[in-house]
Amino acid sequence: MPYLKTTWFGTFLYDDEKIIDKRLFPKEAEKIAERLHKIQKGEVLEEEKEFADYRPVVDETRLKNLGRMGIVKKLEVKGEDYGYDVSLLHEATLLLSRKKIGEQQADRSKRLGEAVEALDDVIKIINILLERLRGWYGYFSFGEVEDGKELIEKIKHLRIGTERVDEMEQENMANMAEILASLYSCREKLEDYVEEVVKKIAPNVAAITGPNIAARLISHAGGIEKLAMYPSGTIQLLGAEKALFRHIKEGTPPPKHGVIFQHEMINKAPRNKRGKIARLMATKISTAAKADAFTGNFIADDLKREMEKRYREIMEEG
Amino acid sequence: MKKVFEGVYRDRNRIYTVNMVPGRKVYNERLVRVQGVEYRSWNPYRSKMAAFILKGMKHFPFTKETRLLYLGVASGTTASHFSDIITDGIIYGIDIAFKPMKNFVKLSQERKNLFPIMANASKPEEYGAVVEEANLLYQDIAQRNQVEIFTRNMERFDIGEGIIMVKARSIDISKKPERVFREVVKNMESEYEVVEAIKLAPYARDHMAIHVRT
Repeated sequence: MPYLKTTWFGTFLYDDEKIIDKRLFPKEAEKIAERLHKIQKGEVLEEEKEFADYRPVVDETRLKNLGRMGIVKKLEVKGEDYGYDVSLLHEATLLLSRKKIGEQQADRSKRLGEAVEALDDVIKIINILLERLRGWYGYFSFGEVEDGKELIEKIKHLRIGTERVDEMEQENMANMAEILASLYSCREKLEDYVEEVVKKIAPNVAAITGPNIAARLISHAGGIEKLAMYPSGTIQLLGAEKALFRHIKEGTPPPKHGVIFQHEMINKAPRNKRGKIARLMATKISTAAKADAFTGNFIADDLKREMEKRYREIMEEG
Repeated sequence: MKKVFEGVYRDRNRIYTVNMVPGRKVYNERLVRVQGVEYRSWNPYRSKMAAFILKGMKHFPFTKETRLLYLGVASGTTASHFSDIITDGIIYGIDIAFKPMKNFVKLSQERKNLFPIMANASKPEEYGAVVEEANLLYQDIAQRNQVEIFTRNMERFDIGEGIIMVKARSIDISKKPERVFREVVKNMESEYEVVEAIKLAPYARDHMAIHVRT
């Protein structure tokens, strides 16, 4: 039984003594890159299919239907022997890597993580500015202003003394209030964007947890497909890696929840019930993620009903 | 400049390689000109291989003609020095992360001995066709199964010699690094002849370089 092996410049059929037949690739970097890409994706090349009648011995799982899996004798051929200069391979690897980088850049679920983190950044900046303006405005009023947007309006319409220094002070406060206002709208737009993307790529998970938590879970996992492959115990703790490693290393109590703690079903529950609810929510997320990644069916209504029923039971337990 | 190994030079406490692309820096390293030759400083805090050399490596397996399979090439900091050393050979640089790979692709454009491959090092089947022949494996991957990845690639490409940079904390965070190192060395000894095993502190924390032969 002959062996079959594909190199970067062609497919070879050979036995212990000699090369029986071969299919060389076109001498173009682009054509070579195309074939290397197919191999990487686990596909069978046309050149390889031509040798299917021999039922050759192969050692790659992607070729298992072409022949039979076994130990393949090392093939001692080099591109140069057939007029393929190594610079052709160099060019092909450059083309292929650029293509693969482009594929990653085009992956919306990978970019989602950036938007989620941008949202966190914006929220942090808002809190810093809000604190500062509240303190500053405190000099001009007796009552505390709780709402940020109300504070912005009050500062804009602040009327104080006529001396130059006060005018400048008011102008500076108003400038900061302006920035704060635009940060609020920036936050809203980011939230809309995240929500839109998440509802598109993971409608089931989004329905279970809300779009914000769903986005964080997906970006932590590195995509909805990856999230779908995780066991629910991992999903439960996504975002709690620090606490988890501290537990393994130093024996502190294990964390009960990660990102999903932001859900009010968990953070508003009494402490002794949070673990149970987190576990419940994680199993539903796991099922929802599988539907999003693999079947595309919308099953979140049922999942949510089950989750809420079980949630009430847990809350009623002593 | 004193030659310490093939392509590696030393001046006081710094080591250097000869810059293949004169005038160009790769990671903002220092360039030094001595008697018409430009050298690039090799930073042991940025490159574990430089740390290995400075910590007293004795058997240097690289030659001008080496055909190197490099797993975990990242943005190419270390690979750029290998590229300086292996002037007539090939470096297949594998990495799965696309952000550092962008940098490595750029580097590979101006260095003809660098071949970028964006792939998962634990699936050698996926890039087997690209790697025509390799006689040395170099691995720097922070993964739990890093030893398994190493042996799998050694086998798949029938490579007789390799260097692995073991990161103890990736293998088992709950164990003392010393214990992880002992276990890995023992593991390696059952498969290969261990040429050298040197800890890389203070340049890299909880790392050990292990050089093996079949």
